[in-house]
Amino acid sequence: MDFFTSMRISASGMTAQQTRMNTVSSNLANAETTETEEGGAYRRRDPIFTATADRETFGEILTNEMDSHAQGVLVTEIEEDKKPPRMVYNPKHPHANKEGYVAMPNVNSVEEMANMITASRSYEANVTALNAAKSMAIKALEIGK
Amino acid sequence: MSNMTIGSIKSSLNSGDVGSLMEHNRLVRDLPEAVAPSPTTTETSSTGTFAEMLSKGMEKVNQAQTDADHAIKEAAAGRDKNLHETMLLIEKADMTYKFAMQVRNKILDAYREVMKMQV
Repeated sequence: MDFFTSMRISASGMTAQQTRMNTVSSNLANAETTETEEGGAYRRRDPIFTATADRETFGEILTNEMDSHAQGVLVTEIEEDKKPPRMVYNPKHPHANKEGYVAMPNVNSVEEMANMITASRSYEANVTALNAAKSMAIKALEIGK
Repeated sequence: MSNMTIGSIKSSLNSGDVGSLMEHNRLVRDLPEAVAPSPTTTETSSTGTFAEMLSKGMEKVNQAQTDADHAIKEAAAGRDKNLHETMLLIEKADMTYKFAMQVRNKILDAYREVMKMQV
């Protein structure tokens, strides 16, 4: 049924926004982390979204190949921000370099808050789209009543 | 021929149980074929009888219910990946069930319509 396609696409959007929310949480939690497994300060992470065909069964894949107007979203990778770390003068810090500077994460809390609001609003938009698709289907069942 | 069919519908009425609905559906399906054989007879035989189609549909509805039930159990056990995936499966089960109810209502309406027929 085609209503389920739009519902699944909305669900893929929700999954993507949830991943984004996870990265925002990670960035905020590690806003002061100066040591990581890879060495150096924590680098902020960003999810990369890619449009993808909503595929579950062979028939749906075929339909998607025939006309790909409905596409879900998929997080293909989590990219690290290449911005240089913030250098803070703090000679007492165990991770300070010879000049007494500590490499702090390139995380901007305000930016992360804005990202968080975007993620949560996008999630809500997907929920609204899903509910709209559902009420359309319910209305269709009322035909002939 | 049609008298005989109506007679058998009457006998299914006399048997009185809801379980004879399938039998009734078969009779209703047979009715137009008995009156005048339609050119689409081969097509209907390839898709199966109405009862088969109905039971296949019911299996799908039941499958959606089972999937939703499983998803709820997974969520309760804390093993689910996403809460909205669980909710989606529940909604799917809800909607397929509502659709099945509409189909049932239509079948029962048709059944009652036939029952009201004056013999």
